[in-house]
Amino acid sequence: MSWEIMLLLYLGLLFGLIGIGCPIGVALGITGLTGIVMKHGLMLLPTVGDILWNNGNSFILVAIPMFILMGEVILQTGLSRRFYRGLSVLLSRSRAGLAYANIVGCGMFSAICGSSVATALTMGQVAAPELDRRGYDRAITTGTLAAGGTLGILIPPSIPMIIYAITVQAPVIDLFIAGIVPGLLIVLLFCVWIFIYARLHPEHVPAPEKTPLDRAAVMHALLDCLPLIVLIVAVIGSLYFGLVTPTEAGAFGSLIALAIGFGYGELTWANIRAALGRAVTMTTTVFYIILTGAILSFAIVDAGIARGVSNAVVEAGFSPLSFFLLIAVIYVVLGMLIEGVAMMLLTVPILYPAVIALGFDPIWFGVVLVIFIEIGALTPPMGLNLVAIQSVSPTTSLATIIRGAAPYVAMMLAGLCLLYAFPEIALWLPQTMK
Amino acid sequence: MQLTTPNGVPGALDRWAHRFARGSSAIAALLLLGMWALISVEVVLRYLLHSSTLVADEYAGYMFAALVFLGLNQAIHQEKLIGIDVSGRWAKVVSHPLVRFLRNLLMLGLNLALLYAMTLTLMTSMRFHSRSIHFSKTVLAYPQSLVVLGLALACFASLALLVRARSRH
Amino acid sequence: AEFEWRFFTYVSPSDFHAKMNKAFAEDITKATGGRLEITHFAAGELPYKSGDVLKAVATNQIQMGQVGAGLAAGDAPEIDVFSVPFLCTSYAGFAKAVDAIGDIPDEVLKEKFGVRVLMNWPIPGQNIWSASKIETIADLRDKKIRTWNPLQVEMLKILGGNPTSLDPAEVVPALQRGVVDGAITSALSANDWKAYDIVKFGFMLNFTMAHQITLVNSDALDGLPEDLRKIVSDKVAEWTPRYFEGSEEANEAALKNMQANGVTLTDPKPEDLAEVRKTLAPLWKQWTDANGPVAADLLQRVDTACN
Ligand code: NA
Ligand code: NA
Repeated sequence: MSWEIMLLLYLGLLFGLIGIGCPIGVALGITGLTGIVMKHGLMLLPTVGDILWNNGNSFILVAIPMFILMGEVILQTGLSRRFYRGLSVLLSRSRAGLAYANIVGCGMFSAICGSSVATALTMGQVAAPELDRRGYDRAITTGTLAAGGTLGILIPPSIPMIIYAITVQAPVIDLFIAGIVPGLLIVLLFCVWIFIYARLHPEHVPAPEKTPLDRAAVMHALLDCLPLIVLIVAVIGSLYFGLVTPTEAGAFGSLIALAIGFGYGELTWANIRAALGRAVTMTTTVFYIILTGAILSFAIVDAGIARGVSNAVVEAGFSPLSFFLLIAVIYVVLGMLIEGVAMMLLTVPILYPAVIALGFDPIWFGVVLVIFIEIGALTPPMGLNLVAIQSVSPTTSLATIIRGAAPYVAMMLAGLCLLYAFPEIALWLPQTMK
Repeated sequence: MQLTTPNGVPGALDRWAHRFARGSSAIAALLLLGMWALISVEVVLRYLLHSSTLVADEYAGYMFAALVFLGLNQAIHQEKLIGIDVSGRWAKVVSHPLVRFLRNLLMLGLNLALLYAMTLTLMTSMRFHSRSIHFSKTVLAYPQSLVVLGLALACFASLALLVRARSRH
Repeated sequence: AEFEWRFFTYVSPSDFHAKMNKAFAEDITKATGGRLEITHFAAGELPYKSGDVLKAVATNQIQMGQVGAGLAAGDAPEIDVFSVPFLCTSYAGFAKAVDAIGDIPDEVLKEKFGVRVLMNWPIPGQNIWSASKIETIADLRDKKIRTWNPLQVEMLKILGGNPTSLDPAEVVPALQRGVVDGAITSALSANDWKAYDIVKFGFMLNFTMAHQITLVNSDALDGLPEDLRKIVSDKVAEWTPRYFEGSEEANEAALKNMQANGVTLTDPKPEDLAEVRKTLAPLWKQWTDANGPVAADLLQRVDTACN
């Protein structure tokens, strides 16, 4: 069967299963297994076992539960409550203040976390209950958190950047530095959208406070923000001074968070148990999707779909602009179906020569690719940040989260256009620092 | 939640699924704590004592795999797996008992296939006496057995869910 | 095609061995007039990791594969003789040693896994890369060095260093931030990781050559008619020297590029080397004791041929 027919078949099966209400992991797994069995019979079932084992048994992924644990400890020991209490006071006079806080908070947390799911989960657990309590619309709450979380892989450190650097043999440090300015740009674009939205739909955000803040209230608010800032500084410092690797940073951060919680006298056995229990559930439900997604990724490669799609692009002989638009379409579509790192590993080997031949910069392309991965994390059905945020806000429907995140996808596409027009946004800083 | 029916089978299955879920998620929580402790010890050893566990990254990976799969049956039992909700008229179709039964049947089928596949991987490791190439030279069959156990429990939880769904109408 | 094989390489498609394997597969396909079609896959295109290749060929999930003997040591430790530190440290020595060990790896793998050896060849040797100066064996004392296999751990312990394990993806950031003082890898990998931005010293011990084995499933090979099998074996003979050359060229290019980027390469002093071989003698014995008579025989042959 040709890859075009297989592609249609996979899409039909996947969306059909999700349409009858199957959990996403079940839909991904069944679609993947169907493809593999159709092509090879039962011959490659041991390969499926290898996929489960190799993806499950990976130290780099250990960062994710460690950061989830850190988030849970922050949550259970009340550090997040304090942080948000402080932030909400400081931002109480601006409309949609906590929505900005979500984006800026995610941006800050991204500086210590290399994964967008972990960023979304940690900040999501911290912020979602607080915004709910203050009467923010669920779409704006979950949208800002899901979108803000994606910054985790654009602002260094970044796991996908490390993998890209290894794949195309680009210097990872340059790539990290190249992510900083685009990361800030996207923070800005997200905030611009919140500004517009809060004025279009004032009923979706609580009314700003009218009374001015006194000095004591500001001091108290700053004191409430302090523990989390100390934690971030401690984690960044431990990375910077070589105490820990990025993967170990989550474990180290949990330790610091426990110590701070202990200092506030809020560390109880019940808190620790609750933190562990919730972290396990979150890790499990997210990884069921990652693992079954890996099976589908294999089926997609195996059916020649990834190669077919990419070859068709390369062979058509495009100009840089039309090529860029085409890969945008490809990555947006693939990003709906495949987890980001898998998508990168599948496409880069085939597209990269064309990218270089058309005169694009490898570092620039890495940054662009990471933004496409971020977009993929926000687009259903395979949208990891969407499901991560749903796991911290279980009473919100996924449809609401998808709707909430959609505008930020548009903002990232706008950011990509700027990056295409002005590659210096990514390339200026690494060149300057040489 | 209705757990008893005339013949008593769904109730019993569900009760067992519940016990397994509690037990295995407790183990999963301990594994998470263990991963955290192991990584912390590695950092302390390296920084303060200029030494290394030499196994932290490897064992953390095994514990992680075991955690993910041993935690799975709890998520299935409590119907916490992540899906996309639908609303409107289509929601009625999706919540129809027959559709629900089909859904749970598909989940059981997938988990059985994954269990079978992972068992093949385990058997290959056993057949070739595979060890890790890291310092510990761990017999791979040990951590892989935990993954197989986790998938077996996931199948059991799926089966209990299937029977529960059938007994509801 | 009458016969369709899948050929897997555990490295990224842009690595020289993946490129060579792809060309090798295409050459055989062409020589058989398309009757035997070998499709090549690199890392990411099939879900196997380096440690899975031997088992995947053994169970005929793939028909051909390239395996690093060191990376397959969890399944076939007795043939991983080239991972013994300072046993064989040059291309010329490796070529002689491979002749000396003859069909022994083939027999072991055939017996235990139903897998045949098509080719033995080396990828560049293991060296120590560091941000601060490490230029003698004595400099290794108390240094935290990232190692990736048990023999390297034992070697470093004997030499007074502190072996540390890190995931490959974290090595470069760890070197940059000083989590570790140095890392063991080949010039090729160091260059691929662009480690020269961070690493400024290469201590060129070359203490092991990475023995690569190109494998084929025994049943798949036996299933070919006589004429096709002859073409395969002719092509193997034709390509083996090319793999040696390709490997050496890649190594030299990597070294040149590292130097061009400001990395100082230091060769060990001969007396230092002689000393270290003596110091590590117990490690050699430990390895043969742990892995049985085949291992002892291989070590003897390699030692004689290579040195
Ligand atoms: Na980050
Ligand atoms: Na997506």
